[in-house]
Amino acid sequence: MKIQDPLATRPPSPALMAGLLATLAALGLPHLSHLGIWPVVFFSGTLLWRLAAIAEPRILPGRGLLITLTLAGLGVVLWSLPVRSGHVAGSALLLVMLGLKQLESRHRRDLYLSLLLGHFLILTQFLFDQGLGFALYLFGLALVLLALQAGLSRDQPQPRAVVRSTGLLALGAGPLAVLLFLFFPRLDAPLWRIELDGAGARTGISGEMRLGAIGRLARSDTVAFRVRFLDQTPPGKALYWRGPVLWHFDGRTWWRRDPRGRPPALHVDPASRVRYEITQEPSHRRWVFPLDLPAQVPAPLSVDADWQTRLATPLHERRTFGFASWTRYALPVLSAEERHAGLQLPEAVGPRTRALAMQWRRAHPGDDVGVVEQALRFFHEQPFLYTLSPGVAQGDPVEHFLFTSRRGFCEHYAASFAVLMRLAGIPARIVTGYQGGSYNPLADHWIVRQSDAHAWVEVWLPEKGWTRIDPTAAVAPQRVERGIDGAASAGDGQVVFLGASAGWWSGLTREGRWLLDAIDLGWYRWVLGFDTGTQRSLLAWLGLAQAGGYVSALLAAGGGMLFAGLFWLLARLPRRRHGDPAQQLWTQFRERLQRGGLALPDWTGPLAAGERARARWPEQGADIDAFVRGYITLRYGRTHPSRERLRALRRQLRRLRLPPPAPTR
Amino acid sequence: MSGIDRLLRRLSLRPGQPLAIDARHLYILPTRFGWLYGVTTLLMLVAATNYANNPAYLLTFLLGGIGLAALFLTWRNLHGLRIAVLPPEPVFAGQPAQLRLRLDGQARPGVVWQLGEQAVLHDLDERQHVIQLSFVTQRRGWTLPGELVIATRYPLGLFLAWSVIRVQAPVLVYPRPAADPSPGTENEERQATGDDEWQGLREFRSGDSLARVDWKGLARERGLMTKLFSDPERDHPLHIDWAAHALADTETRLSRMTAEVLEAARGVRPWSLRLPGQTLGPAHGVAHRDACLRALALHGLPQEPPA
Repeated sequence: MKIQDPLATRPPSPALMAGLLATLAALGLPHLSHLGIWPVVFFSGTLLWRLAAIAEPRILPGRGLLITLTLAGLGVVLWSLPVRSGHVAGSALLLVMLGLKQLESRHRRDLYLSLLLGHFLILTQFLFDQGLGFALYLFGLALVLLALQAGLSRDQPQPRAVVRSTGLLALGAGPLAVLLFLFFPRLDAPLWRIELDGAGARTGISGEMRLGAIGRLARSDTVAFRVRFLDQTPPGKALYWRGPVLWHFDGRTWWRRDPRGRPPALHVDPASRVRYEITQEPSHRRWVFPLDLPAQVPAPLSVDADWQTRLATPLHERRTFGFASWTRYALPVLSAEERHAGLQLPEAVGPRTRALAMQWRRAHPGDDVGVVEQALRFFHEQPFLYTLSPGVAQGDPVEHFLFTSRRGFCEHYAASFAVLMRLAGIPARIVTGYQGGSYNPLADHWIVRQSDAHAWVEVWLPEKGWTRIDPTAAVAPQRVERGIDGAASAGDGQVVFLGASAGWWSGLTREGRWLLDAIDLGWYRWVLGFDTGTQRSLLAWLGLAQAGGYVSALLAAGGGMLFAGLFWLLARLPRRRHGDPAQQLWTQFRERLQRGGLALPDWTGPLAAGERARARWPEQGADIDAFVRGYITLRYGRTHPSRERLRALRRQLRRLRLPPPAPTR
Repeated sequence: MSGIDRLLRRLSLRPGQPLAIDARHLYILPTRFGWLYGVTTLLMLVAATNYANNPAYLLTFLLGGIGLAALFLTWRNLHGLRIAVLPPEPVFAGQPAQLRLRLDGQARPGVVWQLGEQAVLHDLDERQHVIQLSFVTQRRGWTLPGELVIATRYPLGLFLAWSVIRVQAPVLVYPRPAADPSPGTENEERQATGDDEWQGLREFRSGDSLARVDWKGLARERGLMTKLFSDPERDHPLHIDWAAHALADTETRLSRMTAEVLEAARGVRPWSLRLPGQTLGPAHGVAHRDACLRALALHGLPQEPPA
């Protein structure tokens, strides 16, 4: 016996078909930014063609034309995209074929395949973009696909009923989806490796400093990383996020050395130990920026002799690392190699720079601290200006900055300061990284943006060892205390630091940004960042520390069965009878009578029931009468019962007091 | 499905005995699209695993969960469905018989009713519904409609839930009335001939033959009158006799006699039906006609409907 499907060969209703085409268009169009214009143009063209065919089915292509179009679609994919990046070509192919499938859809059963492919199309979108807003958009469209699918199994799909049953399905499936998400065994390594090349712009600290490079970064609001302090939060002045350390200077560019060996000995103040987590945005580089100075770094990271923290491979996705740092420390050791590198100078140093350093040296013979203080005073007292657009330096950039322009930002100050120190015979090195950050009170974390990128200097003083000196602070202390985040740049690139009385508007926008940031981080922490590690800690938290994938699978299966059981129970619940609301009220009235001890046969009419009830509760006679009459008017009256009258009837019923029979002895 | 078809338990539906589809008689399997959905979900799982893409995981698990939820909703769409069959009306062989089923008022969208080759789909809402299905009858006598399949693919078309019901509502099928006028019988309509005896006039009643209107009288302004003749055979009953069809085989005889009964029932003369071992009438009227048709339908067959 074959059970037929009377709907299968029916043509889809225009509304259903148009709904499907619109949904597919909404699903496919975001690929414009991932796959380029041609596959999307082809896709849109087929959709429009099919849309026109709703009114005029004769314009649908025949078999021969369809084959030609398929070849054309393949051609578009091969011609416009590199084949080697599998997921790009795959997504484009899916897009093109999904469009062609529409031209072939004549019956309702043809639509099922399109709906499935639509879900797959959503998956391909996730390969390119996983942002929260986009994900919400796509999940919404997935529900629309399901609603269309629900419409296909009905004769006359009523939008409200279809939306209801789709909602019921999604509600039922949600808990199971979450359980599976949490406990389904994950793989650490991909099944097959296709390079997901997210090349794009490589933002972040580069490990080199060409004068002018950080200036461009400082304008970028992009989040570099987020920090959550686990116990105490250090003061804003101590928030130096240590990155690459630069030693060599050729007159224009500073760059790193490759330090060998382990971190040297140091003294620390144990009370200044801070524990925190850094969630690093994909930087496509290996650097991570812990708080100066990192005491403990987690496994995939390593620290070298310059206290630079690095990953083994570049970071292509968001990751979270747990750190501990000391904010008060001393680095007393200066190796011969470090002394040599810390005094290195380019061949040509500007004569005025050299003269200035010599002058300071002569003023403080044998007193390095005195030289440092003199230099800071120089920056503070001379008319230096902190600005993000210092202009292009002519000739020797250090000399130009110190004596001609006197306009610059952190790297100009740091670079000139380091050169002056080296000229005076004091070993100096430049540390790049970030400084400060903005606190998000909603999510209780700090946001460090690319605009917080900073450069400062470490000088080696005989009494204190390597000591952090931030010459920028001498010129613009607000930059260090508040960070650029609170700063708005004026027209010519001058930075205006905003105080607490920054006005309600900027306060409001800042809180809005905090909220968005908190939501975004939540999405990342709980959804995007969930991996085998998180899963393991979740299992450990549940007391299943030794659980492998096996227990995980068991949990998932158990959850599935629990879900199945719940749904089974739900399915067995008696169905609520819908129907006339007046009649529902009448049923309630009958139940009240029954509870009051008056059981009436099913066939008792409203008038007879009212009479019996009045006889039993004479004191409530008027109320009973009013209800019965109201019910008769609503149920059998000429006009459709209005909402108001229904509500009045409901009130009457609620007012009705039918005391139960007195207990008999 | 034909392999397991024999193994399925069936419910029996009799007139006056409504039934509800219970879990023991409700079957469910994935449809072809359901299998495809499963395979697609698995492929999506593989893709999500490979790219370690958490939104993709979430989408995959959501689709999986929805598939599972659909399993229950499909099952629930038929579970507890109460059906009553109304006693079917007799039909002539070759005509479609109507099977009418009355349902309880519960919302059940997308339910397929299949009887034989005929299948209809209805979205049942809270109102009471009567589903009408027809089936072709071939032979006279008591006939059973056969097996009714109630199925649903609601809500997503992923699963097919169905129940097979043996409908024990026998339909009485009368013999197919012969189309050609039966030769050699005395059952021809007689025209008013000169031999008929003039009896008089009476007021015209609607239905009187225009040939018998007293047109001359009308012209003489005596009003519209009908001429009455006495038919010598009018008061003599008509005999529809098995023996009069001696040359034809049984079914042809019955078929011709059926046509004669129908013819006689249209006329005014009483008639009698003679079958071997059985004589009905002479009488006239609908009850007599039905009794005659029943006797013809069941001639040589069991008199009682199959249980």
